[in-house]
Amino acid sequence: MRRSWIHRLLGLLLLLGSLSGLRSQIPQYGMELLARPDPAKVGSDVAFQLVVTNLSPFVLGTFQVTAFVEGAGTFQSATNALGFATNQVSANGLTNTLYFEIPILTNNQVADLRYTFRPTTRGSIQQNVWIQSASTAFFSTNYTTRLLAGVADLRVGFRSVPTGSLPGDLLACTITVTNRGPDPAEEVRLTNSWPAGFVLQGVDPSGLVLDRQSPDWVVLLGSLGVGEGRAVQVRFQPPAAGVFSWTARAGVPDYATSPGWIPEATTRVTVVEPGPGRFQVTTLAPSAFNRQTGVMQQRVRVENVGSNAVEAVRVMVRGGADGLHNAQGTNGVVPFVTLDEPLLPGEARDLWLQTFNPSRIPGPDPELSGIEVPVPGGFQPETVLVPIDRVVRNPDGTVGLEFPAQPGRRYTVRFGSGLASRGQIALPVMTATANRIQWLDWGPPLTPIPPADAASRFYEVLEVTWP
Amino acid sequence: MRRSSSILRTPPQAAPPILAMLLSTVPTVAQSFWVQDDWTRNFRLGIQVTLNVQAQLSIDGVVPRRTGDPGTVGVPGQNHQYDDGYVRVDGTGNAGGVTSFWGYQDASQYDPATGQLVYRSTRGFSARDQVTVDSGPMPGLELAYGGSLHDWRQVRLGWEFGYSWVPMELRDNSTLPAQFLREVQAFDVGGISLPTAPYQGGSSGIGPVIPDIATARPDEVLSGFLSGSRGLDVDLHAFRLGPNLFWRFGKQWALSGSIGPALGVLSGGYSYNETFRFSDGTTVVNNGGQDKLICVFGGYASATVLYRVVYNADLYVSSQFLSLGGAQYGGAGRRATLDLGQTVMTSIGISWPF
Repeated sequence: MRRSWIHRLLGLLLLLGSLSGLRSQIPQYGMELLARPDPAKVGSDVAFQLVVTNLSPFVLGTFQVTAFVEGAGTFQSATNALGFATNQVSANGLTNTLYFEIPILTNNQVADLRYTFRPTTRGSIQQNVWIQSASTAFFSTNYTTRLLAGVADLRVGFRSVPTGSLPGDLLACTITVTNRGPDPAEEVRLTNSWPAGFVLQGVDPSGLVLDRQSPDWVVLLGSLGVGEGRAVQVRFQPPAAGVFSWTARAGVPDYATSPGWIPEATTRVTVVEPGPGRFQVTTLAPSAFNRQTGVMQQRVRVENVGSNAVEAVRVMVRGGADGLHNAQGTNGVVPFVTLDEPLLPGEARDLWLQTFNPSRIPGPDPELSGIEVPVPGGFQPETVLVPIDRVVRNPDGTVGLEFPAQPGRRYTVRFGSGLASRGQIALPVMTATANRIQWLDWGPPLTPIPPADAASRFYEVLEVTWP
Repeated sequence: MRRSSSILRTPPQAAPPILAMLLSTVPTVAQSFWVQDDWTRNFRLGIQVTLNVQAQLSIDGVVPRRTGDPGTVGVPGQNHQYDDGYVRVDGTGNAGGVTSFWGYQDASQYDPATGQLVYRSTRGFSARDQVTVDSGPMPGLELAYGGSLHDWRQVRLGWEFGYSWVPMELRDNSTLPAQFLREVQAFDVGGISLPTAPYQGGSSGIGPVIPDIATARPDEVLSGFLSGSRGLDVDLHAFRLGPNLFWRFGKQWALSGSIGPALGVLSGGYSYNETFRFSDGTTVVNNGGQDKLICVFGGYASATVLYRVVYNADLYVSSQFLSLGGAQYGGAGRRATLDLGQTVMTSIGISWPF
């Protein structure tokens, strides 16, 4: 933009005037720098608006504004309605120097200077702005504009929070993180704050980077595209009873969220001491090898010898020669099964224990004990329905299901009293060792009561895809 | 190093059609160059097409089947492999005399009268067939290296060592009538409820288990057809060494001839990819083969036409007659004879004198 001859003349007159009598007066300026958007985003244009107001009672001439802009980016454009604007890029491309010149700025007149950049790296844009007029007065100020890599609203959720747990139980729950956009997120971090004393046993899937910082710990989840989600299973051990608050918070360095968005979730883990119930647990017969299942089976009886009814009984199995094949959980190093059916005083239930013994001969009887516990629950795996292609109702009252499987994949059965009922998951989850699985419902502890004693029982087979 | 005597300055000339086609792929060079036969060595590389290779393939009599060992009857802890399933030793070592590592293909294998699973293993077949298979043109590769011993200006006497690689496939795809012998064994299932067929149990020891002792049942002889293919898959590596006579008869044209002994190394062998189609409607895949290394000897005669396209490179077309001894393959009812007695090889490529 070229200055007209009249502007030059007026500037000269004003300069002479200031030298002759107005020099003692100090010019006053109002200056404001606006950035849109603020904070700015890497890769997107950020528009700066520099508003300079002549607050002095006199007219200023040859008015110059210099903006020294530091930060990697590309200069896009600059406008000056009252004069002209130029830009000079440094040799390394990291700084831009913008010159705005206004021939005359009258009293209370506003100079609206605009320029646009496209930042290329995260961090910030630093600006130093000088104002200089023919009266040689000088004014400088600094501005900082934060640069974001993007905006990502991360949704955090808890799933499969265990219930009915005791201190020392090995527990697991799932945390999901979903990127609701609008930008893909890189280097997503999941920060967990939980009670002191909780022991972190591990995080699945394996391979995730885990940063243990007491009392918080962080899992690095990597990149999440828009709409993409990731789930991690956290294995932990509560040391004591109580109601514990656990907050998980997702974040990405140099990313923002939409206004009002809170990328965190909180759950409560309830851990109780065992109830006062007293039980007598006895073996009914020696352990015997079952050719249909390939594991040792032993029938045991649990009797409520206390004075109160109980909701559920956990049978702890210690000292057996082999691992408890149908264990539904572990407390410390002791596996257990749970009879989750009310047991009145004096009432008894029979249940099966299964062990895998490579010698296929009976070992010594395990040491059994009963503990009163709340009804366990909370396990909500992600599953895929598997067709059942054979159902057999056996003369002994058991029900057999057969379904196709892929060796190494995991399956479970959901059962309920009717088609409409949500049903319960029969634990433990099985890992297929053949191309077909024969699953036998013999009652406790797999299901609360034998199928022959249930008015009706419906089954669906599920392949567990997570966790 | 000797330098030469025949130096000819020539402009490029029109080439015959086949060379003109090849010349079109050569980058444009200077308008003229010296054809200078001062070389003492030369190296050739070309693609080669081999013709007139034949094989006689025959099946005559009883052919045993070596795959799928059904194992021994009456002995525990054995691996048994059948056409229609398996009973193997599981991870527990078949503790208790049972195994989880078993599988079967079809519900008809269960004999409810005896409570046994019946398995079959085809141990051999009888068929008769003889066919002569012609290879047709087979692509390959030729390398040659030579030197000059004596120089009479336009004519040079030298030597040449050559190598040819020819992958060969000569197969018989006919379907033959055949009589099959099947060994039959059975296993008690021990009263378990069998998983629905087809079932493939694993080695973990967990899952339904069956006793691991096989009992023998009478062998079965049944008719059917043998389909698929059988034949030779061999690579011929032919080496030759002999005197070479070089004659430059035009400004850019030369003729070269060589004759001498040859050695052939044959790798690979007889292979079959067949299907037994039994009269009861069942089928069994039968794959296998036998590789070996065979050396055959003979001689060769070759003639080569060279055309100088740039200062130090010729295009060449060569024809070679190679006569090598025959090679025998097979055994136990299967036989194949490879005839390399009148092999013709034609090659085309580039020669570099240096």
